[in-house]
Amino acid sequence: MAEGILRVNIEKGEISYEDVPEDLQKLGGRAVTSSIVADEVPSNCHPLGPNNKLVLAPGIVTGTSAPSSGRMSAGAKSPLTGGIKESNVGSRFAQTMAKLGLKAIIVEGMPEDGYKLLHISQEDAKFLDASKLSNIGLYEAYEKIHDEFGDKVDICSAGIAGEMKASNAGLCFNDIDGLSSRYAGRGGLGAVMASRGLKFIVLDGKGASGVEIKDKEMFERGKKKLVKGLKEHDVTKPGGALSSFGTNVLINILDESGGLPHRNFSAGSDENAEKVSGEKKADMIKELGGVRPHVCSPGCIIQCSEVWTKKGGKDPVGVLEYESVWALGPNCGIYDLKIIGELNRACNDLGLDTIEMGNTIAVAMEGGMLEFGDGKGALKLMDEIRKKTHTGRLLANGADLVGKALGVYRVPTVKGQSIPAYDPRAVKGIGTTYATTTMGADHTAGYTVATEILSVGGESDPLDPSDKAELSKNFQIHAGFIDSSGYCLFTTFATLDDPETMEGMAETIGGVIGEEFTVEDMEKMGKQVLAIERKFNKEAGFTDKDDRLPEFMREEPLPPHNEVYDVSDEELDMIHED
Amino acid sequence: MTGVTVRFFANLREAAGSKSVQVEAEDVGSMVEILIEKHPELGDEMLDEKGELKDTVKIMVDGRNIDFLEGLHTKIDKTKKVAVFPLIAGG
Ligand code: SF4
Repeated sequence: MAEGILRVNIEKGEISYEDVPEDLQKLGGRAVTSSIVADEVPSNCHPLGPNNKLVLAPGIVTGTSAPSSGRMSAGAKSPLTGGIKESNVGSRFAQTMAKLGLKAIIVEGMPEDGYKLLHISQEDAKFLDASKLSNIGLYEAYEKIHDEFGDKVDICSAGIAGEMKASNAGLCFNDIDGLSSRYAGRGGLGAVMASRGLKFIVLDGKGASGVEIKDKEMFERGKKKLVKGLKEHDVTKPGGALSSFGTNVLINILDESGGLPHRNFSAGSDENAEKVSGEKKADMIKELGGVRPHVCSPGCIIQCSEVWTKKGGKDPVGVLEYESVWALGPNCGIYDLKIIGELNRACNDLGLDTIEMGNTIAVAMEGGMLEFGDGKGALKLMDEIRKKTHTGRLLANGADLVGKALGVYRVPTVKGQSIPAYDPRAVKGIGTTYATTTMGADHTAGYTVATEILSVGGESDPLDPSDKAELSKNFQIHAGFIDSSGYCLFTTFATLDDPETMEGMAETIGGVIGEEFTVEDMEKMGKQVLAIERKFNKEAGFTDKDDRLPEFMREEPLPPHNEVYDVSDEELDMIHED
Repeated sequence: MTGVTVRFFANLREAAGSKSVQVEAEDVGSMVEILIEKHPELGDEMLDEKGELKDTVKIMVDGRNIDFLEGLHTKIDKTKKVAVFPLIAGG
């Protein structure tokens, strides 16, 4: 029976269940993945070699009726950054995994060749041959898997990019319609999974016993407050901005703030932004026959998701997130949502992270491989990856590698990972997070944008460098908790503005683990996660010098505000001092 | 004299009935008054019960939140870009 920690090793043909060690019992998500990676993976190992492990873990409340909690973490040593990685995703897979009683799945070993599918149900777990499902796109593979195992099963997979062991290979999960559209995209975890000989994990949740709630009264009390808060806050409420326009509603506001990077971080605003905005996309979804709002996993109140399609509802892509639209759009000088949709579909199909891919294409454009704005050319590059040509292999390894190969100076990466959709020169707090998080450039690791641009949880002038170290530090700590809890990061918009909603969230955690859990405990958990990850990275050879933004961001002023990134090195180094 | 162009975003577009309007005003405070006079639907969206600008409405002048400029006293003219947003978020 599925329960505890499932450890699988294709090289040795072993599948075993282990009891959950005491120190992990009250943790979930990122706290579990980072603890296991730190304990079991040598920090100096090669990410694609025999000593790395892929760890999956649902959040603490995932699989319960807590709202917007269908999230989980994937962790390993990252082939992209060389440091510890936690990549977070929302998918029904997370809920099914939790309901099956799985605290974690650990994938280890390095078989010589071939790919397996790991099938897990309430009865057993077994390896099946996956050769027929390899070297094909994930949309097709997911259809085949659903045909064979039923449309209720949930899937985690590595795509063609994973088969290439590419540093930008993400881990792909299904949305509620079974589309291969939800990603733990960042950091190359698809390559870690594929190099363990594993292509797919299929979960059959039939008969699953569900998540044990140790103190039901506390849980229900907390849930009531949290649901109320989410339903009342302007951002998270049904019919609010996120459900009406999706995350892409940010395009216009970031462009207006001068912080939306265009053409490989050479400008912070452009009059064409409106053409790819959330407002425009919501209108087009109606015209084309897509779905809005939608959810990544059942039980979400906020409902930020959607299904983008071609005309007549054809070739559904899944969600076009703000980050993806930006990376594959304005950052490449492409202002056509239909082309962006096709590029996003290609990423989902090949198993690639959209943020890294968009930045890679933009750097390729800067390096002269194609012109900015050349959408058709960008689609051709995706075909190179599909065909596994040498050019394709280069492109699937991210912006850093392509920048080096093409002699590009303006390469927007930190610790080898591409910078997301907020320019650090116009939004200095998020730049501080990019520089100092253990993850490499990652907005979700400390989302200061909430306060700097969106005025959630207070206000902070995005151009003023003086308070950014403290701001980023607090957001990084909170992210360490949120990523462990199983709650979607977007719940933060409501919890930061209302102490009772925050308290409700804490009580739901307390209800599941069966002991009092306070807002202070959230902070403790967040700090503990960051400390584990910092230690791993330090042992892997990272120093303060790695906690820096690329040089051009201190040298080249960004129009229209003509600011450079000017948070001092001393302040950056203070963030993790304790 | 042509006025300043004020652009609306997200749900506020519907209330304003268009993506942008022209307003002749010297500062943001008087701009808000004129806007609401011309488009009463915007009143519900932008003002609280006391008739003050809601916390959830963000106004930017040349890409700067007016909270970090002179607030409602921030001067505007036809060379400035003015944008009005409801509370939105994403990530
Ligand atoms: S807000 Fe969006 S990403 Fe978060 S849980 Fe809901 S649908 Fe998923």
